[in-house]
Amino acid sequence: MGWLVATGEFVYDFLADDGWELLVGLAIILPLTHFAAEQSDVLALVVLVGGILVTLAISLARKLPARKAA
Amino acid sequence: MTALIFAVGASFLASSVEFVEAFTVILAVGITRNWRSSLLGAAAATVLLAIIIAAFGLTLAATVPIDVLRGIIGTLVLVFGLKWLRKAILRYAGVKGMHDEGEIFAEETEELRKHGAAGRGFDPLGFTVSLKSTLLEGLEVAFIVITFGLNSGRMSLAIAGAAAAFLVVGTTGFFVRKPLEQVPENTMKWVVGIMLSSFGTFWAGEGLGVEWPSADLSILPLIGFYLLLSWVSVRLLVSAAKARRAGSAEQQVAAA
Repeated sequence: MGWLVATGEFVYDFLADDGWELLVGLAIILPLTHFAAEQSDVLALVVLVGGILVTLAISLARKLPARKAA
Repeated sequence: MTALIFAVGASFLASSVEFVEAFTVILAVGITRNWRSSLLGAAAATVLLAIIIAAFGLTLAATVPIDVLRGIIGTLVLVFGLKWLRKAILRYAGVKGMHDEGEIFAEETEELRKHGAAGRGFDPLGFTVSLKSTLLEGLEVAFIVITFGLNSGRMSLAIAGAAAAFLVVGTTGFFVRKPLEQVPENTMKWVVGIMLSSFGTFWAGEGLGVEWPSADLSILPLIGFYLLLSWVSVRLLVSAAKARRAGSAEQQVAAA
């Protein structure tokens, strides 16, 4: 059962550390990439790489120190 | 061939980082409780990990078609890679504190000392802490070995990468007998983050039906993309954090 607890802890740690932003981003990007790949390979590459870029940018920007109210 | 070399390298680097982290706790338990329980806990976790790798690796390889497997594994590797890369970028930008093995070792020993002396016999607390830590860190190693092994079709080489990391960290730790603070863990995590993200993007794309130009060689421009992305991100985050701090200071002066 030790490995189950360890896995649970890892998942909790992952989600608590804002990893969910990456999961949400990929949950949107990957089906879109699959759809785009049926149209054209270049489009699929743009969707996949561009989507990852946007996801990472949003996730990083959310970690910036907040502005303090006056 | 390119994929194979990078797969072994990624397996070695990722495993080294996780073994260094596990070693810190094994050392803390060995010093504060006793070595017998600490090493027994680590050995038990290693056996469990070997079973996990064998069971999952062989079962997946035997039951799931390789194309489907690549898509699933690629997605998982991508999630892991982006997580490591994101953490490394935040650390280099100063938004998140650097990983410090010395500090972790001090905290761990202080926590263990609160439970009193352990004596020379088997110590359940020391065994559990050592087992839990090794298992937790090792699960990531197991995951990386399984994914890289299955995708490259050379499980033995991926295992060899992890085994080499175990030998290097274990031997160094045995002689040094203190937290391996000199290991550039943050840089290694960043390198592994880039490798996992690149391979993850490539495999996930393949699994989703994307035809990569130049096949395996597309991994190289992907590595370049993630390198550039992390460099630009660090610079932007540093200047944005400075601007926000300066803005907050000005607002406080105006309010005073």
